[in-house]
Amino acid sequence: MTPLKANSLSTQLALGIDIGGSLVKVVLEEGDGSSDSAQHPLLSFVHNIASQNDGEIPDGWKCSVARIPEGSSDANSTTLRALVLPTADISLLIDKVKNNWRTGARTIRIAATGGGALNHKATLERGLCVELVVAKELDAVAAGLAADIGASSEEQMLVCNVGTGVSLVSVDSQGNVERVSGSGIGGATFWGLTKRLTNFKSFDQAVVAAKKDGVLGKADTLVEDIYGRETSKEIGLAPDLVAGFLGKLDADNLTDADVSAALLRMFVSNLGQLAVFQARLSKVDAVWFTGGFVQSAEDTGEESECSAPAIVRQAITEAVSFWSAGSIAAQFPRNAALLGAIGAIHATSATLSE
Amino acid sequence: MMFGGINSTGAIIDGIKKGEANDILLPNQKERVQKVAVDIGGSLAKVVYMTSGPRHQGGRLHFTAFETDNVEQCVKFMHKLLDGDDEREGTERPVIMATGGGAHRFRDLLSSERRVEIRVEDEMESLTAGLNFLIREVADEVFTYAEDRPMEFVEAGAEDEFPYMLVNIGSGVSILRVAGEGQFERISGTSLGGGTLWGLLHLLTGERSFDAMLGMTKSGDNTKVDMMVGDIYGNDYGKIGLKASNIASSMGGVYRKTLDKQYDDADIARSLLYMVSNNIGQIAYLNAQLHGIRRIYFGGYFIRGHPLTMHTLSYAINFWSKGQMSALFLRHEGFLGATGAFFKTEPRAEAAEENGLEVAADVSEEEGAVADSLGAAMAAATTHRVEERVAADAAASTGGRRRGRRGTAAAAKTYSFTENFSIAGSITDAVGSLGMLDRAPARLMALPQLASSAAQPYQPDTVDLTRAPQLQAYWISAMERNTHGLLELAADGALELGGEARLTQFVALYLDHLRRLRERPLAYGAMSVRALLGLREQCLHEVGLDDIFASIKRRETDAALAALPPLLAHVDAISSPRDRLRLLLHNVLAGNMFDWGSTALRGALANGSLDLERARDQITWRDSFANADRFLDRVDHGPAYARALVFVDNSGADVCLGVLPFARFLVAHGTSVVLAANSRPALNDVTESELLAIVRRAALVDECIAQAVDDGRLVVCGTGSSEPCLDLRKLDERLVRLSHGADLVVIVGMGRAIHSNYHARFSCDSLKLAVFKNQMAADAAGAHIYDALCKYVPGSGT
Repeated sequence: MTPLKANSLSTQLALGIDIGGSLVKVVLEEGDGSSDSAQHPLLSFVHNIASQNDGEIPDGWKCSVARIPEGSSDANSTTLRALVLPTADISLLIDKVKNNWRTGARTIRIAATGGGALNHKATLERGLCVELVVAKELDAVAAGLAADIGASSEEQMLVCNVGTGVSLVSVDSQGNVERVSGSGIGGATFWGLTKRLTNFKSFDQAVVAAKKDGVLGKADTLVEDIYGRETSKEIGLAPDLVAGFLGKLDADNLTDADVSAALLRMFVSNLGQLAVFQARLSKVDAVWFTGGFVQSAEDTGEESECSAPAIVRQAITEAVSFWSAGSIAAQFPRNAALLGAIGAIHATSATLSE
Repeated sequence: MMFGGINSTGAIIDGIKKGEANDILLPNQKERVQKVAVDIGGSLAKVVYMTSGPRHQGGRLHFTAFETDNVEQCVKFMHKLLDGDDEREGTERPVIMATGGGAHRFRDLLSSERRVEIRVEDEMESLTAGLNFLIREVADEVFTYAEDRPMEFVEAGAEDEFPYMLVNIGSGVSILRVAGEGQFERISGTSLGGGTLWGLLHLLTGERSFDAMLGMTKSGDNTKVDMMVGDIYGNDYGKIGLKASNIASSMGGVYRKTLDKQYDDADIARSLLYMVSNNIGQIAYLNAQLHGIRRIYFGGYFIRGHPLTMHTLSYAINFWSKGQMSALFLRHEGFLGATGAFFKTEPRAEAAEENGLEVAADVSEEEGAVADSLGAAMAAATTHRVEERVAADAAASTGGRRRGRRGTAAAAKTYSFTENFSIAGSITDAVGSLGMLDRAPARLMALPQLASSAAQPYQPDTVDLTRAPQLQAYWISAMERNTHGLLELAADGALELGGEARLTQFVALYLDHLRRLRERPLAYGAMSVRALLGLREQCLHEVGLDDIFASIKRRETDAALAALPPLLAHVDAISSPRDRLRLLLHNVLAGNMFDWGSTALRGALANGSLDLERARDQITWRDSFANADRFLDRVDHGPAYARALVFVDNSGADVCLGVLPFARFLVAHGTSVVLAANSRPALNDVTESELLAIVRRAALVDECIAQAVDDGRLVVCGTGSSEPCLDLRKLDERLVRLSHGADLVVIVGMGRAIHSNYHARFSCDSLKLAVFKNQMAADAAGAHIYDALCKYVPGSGT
């Protein structure tokens, strides 16, 4: 278990990279006033493209700038420049950085995490003239969360990281990180099924349509389907309570939005149930939800209530409230999708400084 | 027409005659259907009903199922079952106990027959009542499952049974905490259940039938559509205990364009089955953790004995509990609700039930009297007296016979059942078959002197054939040979058959079962010699061959009783009690050689070349299996035994010349003796009523026996069994009452002391007397054929 140091600003590393199954997230931390990012072509590339000084951003790449911790004054915070690109575009990233290459650039160390960190280590080190210091993914997420919300290391936290799959991570008051539970029913399950069963082209499109046009219950087996509407009332069960998710997927009148809505509710309900049970076992009254599913990678700033991540967060909040009868809260860090990359910097810096 | 593996044409017909769906025949048209229960779920309607008739006094419980889509057919079936009820006196309407969602949804359809009364029962209450009943009454009901260790049966009904958790998986999933009989609460559940899997698979594969979908999972490869830990990490993620082969994200591989794997419907089917089962297992485990529960039963029709489903649920429970817990499955998994509803009785119905039992008890006593007029008077007298004595011993108020009977009726509210596989409905490959449940005429209970602990639980069977394929093949072949031997005996005219047809029917039926067992050893629960022998008796009785050895037994008993007076005179002439007892022990073993169940001895018995003297000479006494001297020491030097319980074996020379003189010795030395014989016929084993007659006839020629009978110090009692082996957990409650205060248990014969109970331990002294008359049984024990087993073990205390 790696001890966490939330505010270890004595950082030697400035750049963190989180290589996931689908997306690569890169963040550059810049302390106030410091702008030494010009020292290495990778750092300057990220600085410029994230600040959108570069002008030309490839399709599917997203950039943003934010400050952490959330809500702290400028003097105490760090500027965060973020770049998100598809994992399949790693070679394009290397090409672009090489275009800006200056002779005599020294090899620097960068922090890395995510499932693909080891897979892509050699490629990145050769192509970018860097040395990867790899942090374990869950350590990174936990450290990133602490950095993002500015949590004191005394608090016990339960983190539910919802990406491709689901990991439930407990961070105890000593900062020890432990994966206590998890599930293979993750974000990719939802999207994999949705993609197979509907014509939606993107995850966001499917989620937004589910909220806007989907009719809940049309694809599910409801209590009234089993007992009949009148009897349900007689025996004291709400007729529209779901008895079996997706049990009526064979109905003729289903739209893509109905299917997407049903799949989303199934997934989120299950997620909420697992999180609530684990929270009870871990004796905490809040669960922090992180990962690509609860916050789109590109969306680190303000977003509308109708955006896909906002819809997902609302659904999770409701599911957690349902399963805990309101006794456990679902909480969301602002830079949820970037926590791995941010945390990689902190987790590896802490290790290196020991 | 099979679906879900269950024979929907009325499971009872399988094996003898298959009827059409709308032409359901009862095995015996004279049988009466008392009551029907149905659990109508989202996909299946499960029916449980009881028949009774001249052959099944106590009643027989049947299990069958229909697809809910064909619910009209199901209702028609039930109404037809209740049709035959017209002859019943009184004005009470026949009843259908209905539970499950469909009980409400199809209420009008159920009530379409006006003369039938519909009682709707609470679903969860029925489920838990059914589960409690099944784990208490049915042998080998509970099992664990893993691909490499399919179906390991679990001893149920242990003291730590409650509280347990029931995860009932139907369209959705209900999780119940059961704290005791009638005490349960729904603690959680999930709507991500069977309906979800069905809906997804239907849309993704176009397949409609759940069974066809499950069939697809067998050939599918989920790694083609799932994202595996290895797909992300390249290898194991050791730190968090994830292997490269673990699923990181179900169906997640479809989403990742970089995986670009070719996949088909079967891959998706397997992936989704894993997804749903894994998730249910995880939620079940989390609930167990939150409620501090260690036993998790999985039920509901989602499981339907599908190996992959059970394997995944087991894997999930095992994985999350780090190997500390196992998923428990039930052979009657689909029938919990219907079974529970069946036994739900209204107060007034209960009163009627009690009356019914009283009548049944009278009838069976009458039958006994008719069967053996000689012993009848004494039977009643003995029973009467001993029960009074026992009642007095137990410091209960004396009330005589009537009081005793009433007690029986009250106690029998919790009936005992034996599973009868003679006509078995099959369900699926993995789970095997469901038999019929025959209600025992009496409540069956464990022998109080049985020493059984959690560390060393009592297990009647000496060898578990399930885990020994070679022994399995040997015993199945031995049973086949033995069955053909019966045909030879029949050809000689030695058997009582009441017509050739029945024996032919029996041979076909039993050999068919043996063939099935050869292919699927677990088809009828754990396989043992006891089970194979028991199944043979069930098949004989089923085709109407109640007692094929009746005339052989009569003949041999007559011959043996004629030899009794000189034998007793010879024994009494021996002056030393020790030598006398030693001879008597030798005679018990010699008598035990007169066994028509032994293929090795049948020839000698048939040509009359065996006598007691010669039999005694054939037996070898070795120290490793015979410690007669220790028993003789105990009798010589210790206080007289207060009461001995003697489980007897064969009729003829065995019981007349071996056991009876031995019992006479004990009685003469101040011990009261209870002779326990099978309640109903099996092979040439002596039955309770036959033994009563034998004792009565012996009393006519021997003063000592007569006196002991008169004083109630020599008593005959039925064991409640009709099998050649013996399960000491299931004894007639009257015998259990009589056994209170017994400080010596004697078990005679190979079936009861070698094939079963060889390892049984007792809190009081015990003596096992038998001869290894079978090569394989001898080999298994490290003995030689015709070695004596005379094993005396002092009681372990309590």
